[in-house]
Amino acid sequence: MSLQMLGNALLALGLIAWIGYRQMNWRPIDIGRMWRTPLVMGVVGVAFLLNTAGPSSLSPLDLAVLVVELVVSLGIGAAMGRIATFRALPAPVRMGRNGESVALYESRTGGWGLALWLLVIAVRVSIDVLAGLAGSHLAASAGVILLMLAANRAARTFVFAGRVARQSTGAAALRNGSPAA
Amino acid sequence: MMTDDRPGWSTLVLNLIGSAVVGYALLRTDDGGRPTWALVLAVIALLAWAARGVLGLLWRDRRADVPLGIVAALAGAAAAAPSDGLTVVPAAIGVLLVIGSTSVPLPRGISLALVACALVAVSGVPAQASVPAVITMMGGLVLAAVGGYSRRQFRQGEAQAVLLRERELAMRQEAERVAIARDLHDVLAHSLGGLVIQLDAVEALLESGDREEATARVAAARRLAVDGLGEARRAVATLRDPARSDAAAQPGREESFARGVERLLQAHRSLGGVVDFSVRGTERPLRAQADDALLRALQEALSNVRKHAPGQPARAGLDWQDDTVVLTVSNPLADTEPLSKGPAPRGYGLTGMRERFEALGLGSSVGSGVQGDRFVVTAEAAL
Repeated sequence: MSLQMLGNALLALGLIAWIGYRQMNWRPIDIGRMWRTPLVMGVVGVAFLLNTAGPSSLSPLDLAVLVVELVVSLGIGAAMGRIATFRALPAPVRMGRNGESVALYESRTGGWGLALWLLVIAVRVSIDVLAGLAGSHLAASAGVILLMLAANRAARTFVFAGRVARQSTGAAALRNGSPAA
Repeated sequence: MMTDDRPGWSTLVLNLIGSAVVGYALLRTDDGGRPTWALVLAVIALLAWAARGVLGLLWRDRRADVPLGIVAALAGAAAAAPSDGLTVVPAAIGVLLVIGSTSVPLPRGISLALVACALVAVSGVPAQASVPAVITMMGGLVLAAVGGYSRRQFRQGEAQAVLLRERELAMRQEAERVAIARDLHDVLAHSLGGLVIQLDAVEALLESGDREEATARVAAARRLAVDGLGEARRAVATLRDPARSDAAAQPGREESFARGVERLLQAHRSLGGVVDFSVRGTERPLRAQADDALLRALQEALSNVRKHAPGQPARAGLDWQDDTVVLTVSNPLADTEPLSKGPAPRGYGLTGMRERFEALGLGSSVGSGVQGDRFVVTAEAAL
């Protein structure tokens, strides 16, 4: 039990450190790749979850914890997508292994993004503790943690992709409206 | 921008009956085991639902929909499991109202639905509801969200249709404005241009001491001014009430065309112009619009002759064919006038003429240009 918890904690810490590091740096935006992370995490999370707890063994408390955590993760993720800043790259950057996509903007979530990550961790730990006290141990499982992270990344990408798309169409309209330089 | 979907009596009745039925069911199924907080929340949700119908009828708009929808969604969702799913109904109505309202950004509406789902799940814990039951209740909210989305799309479509109609109206008004400018030009250019020529002649005659001829010219100028005034009045009357003036002008149209041509030729001659007029074929009835366009074209062409080739003999001809009538006005190129290159830029008159004949439809057109040693204006109207 303690070994599993240690593993979970290490997994979570590793992921959070990785994401936190990426948040502080300017990175070229590739919306396709941004969706890939939550997709992979979501699938792995569901697989883990089904392994540890079948649907029949869920209690109403487990379900409540799961749904509440999902909604909170989605909300914080959307907030991250909102506060992320982005700017046009000086030159388009080829992305992907074969350079199949081209990034025109780069983005950074910055200090507030890191603060939101700390909030995610705080919320997760407190829900874990409360749920554990109330008798639900599902929340502490690796599957749920991955699912929460997936929800967070997905909501953030959804909001962010919308902003970038609006910015791009706005910039394109501006370019078409003004005489060619 | 307002679409006409103001809530009325049917909204009131449906909302009141709905909330009353759910309230009655809540009373009937209560075995005393429901916690007080859940009952309070359930009553709040039902009151918000009922109030939405009442305020909608009182205010005649959807101002109350969003705040009351939020209250119903949150209170109803929080009481969902303890009320055995009954308050999912007002919660679903609330979600539907908020997502369906175009004044609320869609992400906020979706956020409300998600928070309501979380509240349903949380409410299942103290009530010890079964997991499938809680999932079913959340499913109800998801269905409502989908319904609200479809309602939102419909309203956005309606709003776009209204916008389209407004743009169409603006374009029609623009076209009318152009038509008014055309009519003004025709009336003013003809009579004022003629007046200028007459007054120039009067000045010259007075200088040479020919008082008698000058008096005759002044009388002609007066007639021209009276004609111009009458025409301006008619144009204004047409603009004010196109239907009535059209109806009044309809009878005796056929004679009036020949008379109109005669009147314009006489006016030209009285202004010192020389015009040789010929008609080929037999005159046929004309549409009011074509009649007007041809007379205006003749008037404009003769005005231009006076302006650009004063004193030169002009030729005007009407050629009645089976399906069209062709008006031709030509004048020799004046020596003093710089030779026009192709279609000469002769002010707004030719533009107005062209627009009039384009409005007549297929087979009607106006052309102008130099042919040999003459400047020729040709106007063709389909019969």
